[in-house]
Amino acid sequence: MSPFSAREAVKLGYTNVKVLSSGLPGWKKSKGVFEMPANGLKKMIHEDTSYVLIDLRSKKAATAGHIKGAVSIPEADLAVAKDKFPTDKSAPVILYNDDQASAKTFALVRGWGYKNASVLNGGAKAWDGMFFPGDPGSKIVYVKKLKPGEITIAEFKKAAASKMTDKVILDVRDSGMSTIPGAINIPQAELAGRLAELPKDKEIIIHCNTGILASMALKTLQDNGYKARYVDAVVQVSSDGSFEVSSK
Amino acid sequence: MIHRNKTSLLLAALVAATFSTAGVSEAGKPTVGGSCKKCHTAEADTVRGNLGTVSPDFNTLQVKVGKNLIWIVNYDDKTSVVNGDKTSGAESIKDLPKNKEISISYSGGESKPLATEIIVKQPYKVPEDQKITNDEVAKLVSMGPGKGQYTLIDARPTGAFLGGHIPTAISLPFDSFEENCSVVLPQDKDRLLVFYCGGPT
Repeated sequence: MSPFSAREAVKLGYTNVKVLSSGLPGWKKSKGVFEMPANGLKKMIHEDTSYVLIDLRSKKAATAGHIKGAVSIPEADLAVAKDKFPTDKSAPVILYNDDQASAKTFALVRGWGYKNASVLNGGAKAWDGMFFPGDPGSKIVYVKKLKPGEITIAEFKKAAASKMTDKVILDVRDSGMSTIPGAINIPQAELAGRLAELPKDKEIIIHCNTGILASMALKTLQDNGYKARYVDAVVQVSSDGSFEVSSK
Repeated sequence: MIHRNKTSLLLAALVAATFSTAGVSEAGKPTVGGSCKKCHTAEADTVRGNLGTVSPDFNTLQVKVGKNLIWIVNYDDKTSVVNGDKTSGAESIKDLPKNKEISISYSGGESKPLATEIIVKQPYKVPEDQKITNDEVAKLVSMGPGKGQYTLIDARPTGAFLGGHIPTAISLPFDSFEENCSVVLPQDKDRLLVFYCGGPT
């Protein structure tokens, strides 16, 4: 999407327009700092999504008031707390200190392989949500929950590999790419106008490259009365129709 | 006599102007299909849309330019198909995926169009000089937008932005670019704008 935004900006007369060609996946891979907006954390709390929230302030400060679901690991103890972290490296680990958690603490956790680690924008000082008093403890418990409308990677692979009579795979990437055998390809931008091509009596399993277009397509289908789920993962299809699905 | 000619010419020009801005041919038939409209406007003797049925027996192909609106275009041995670096004969058109976006230049007028050249849409590539690397962005981010004199824009949907973003980025989803660009983008047109999204480009 960014190349098209860039093109629009050039049309508007901007003279110095650049595109990060590796995109966000490349940024995360290069271990660049990732920032969680306060509203993003609030949304996770509200939707009861699974997350790992680390309060890096002193134990005393965390006990006086911490953000919901936080675990207290003072910054000085972080380096030796590695074993407390979940085995699932795709867990969203969010760090906060008084101010925004330092690049050093981020690099430490990111270096352990937590690819979805982030620092809370502005830290505790900037947090305009609730603080809860009491000892937050220091034991991390993380059980991944699916988002509404999400299908697990394992279930997606099963549906895509075998011809299921009650399911159909919908590929919402641009046309012209190799597709999973049996999948229907309708680019996300064209989906609303081409709904008639989809069966109403089957569950529609949506995928794209990264799960983003698929989640948009999910909404379109649900709004139009289709039964659908999407896979929120990286899907790559080879020219022979074989495919790889990996967590983000 | 001269006066009347002038008037009719002016009328014709007016009609043409009205129709061409709407992407419609002289006879009122659209020439630019839905997704092509984002970047293309009407051109003479050219139709843009999604490839429909190809009938080798009749040497015809269909181009969908809207809901229930198709053009039927003839082709012959002289028709060339340009697909990126490859140019081939019209027989290769049937190998293209269904609904592929194509642009057809034709001769013979719109009542009996004969394709002279069929151009297949290529994936959009970011020009080399527009690319910026992770390291360069990291350097900017460490300076901050004030000192670094940049605006970093996340083009993903709002929901994805809420899941985390590159520090100092602001959200301007591509889908709502037009509505929100005047609020989000800086006044200074020479300021460095850096866009990113959820996939490599």
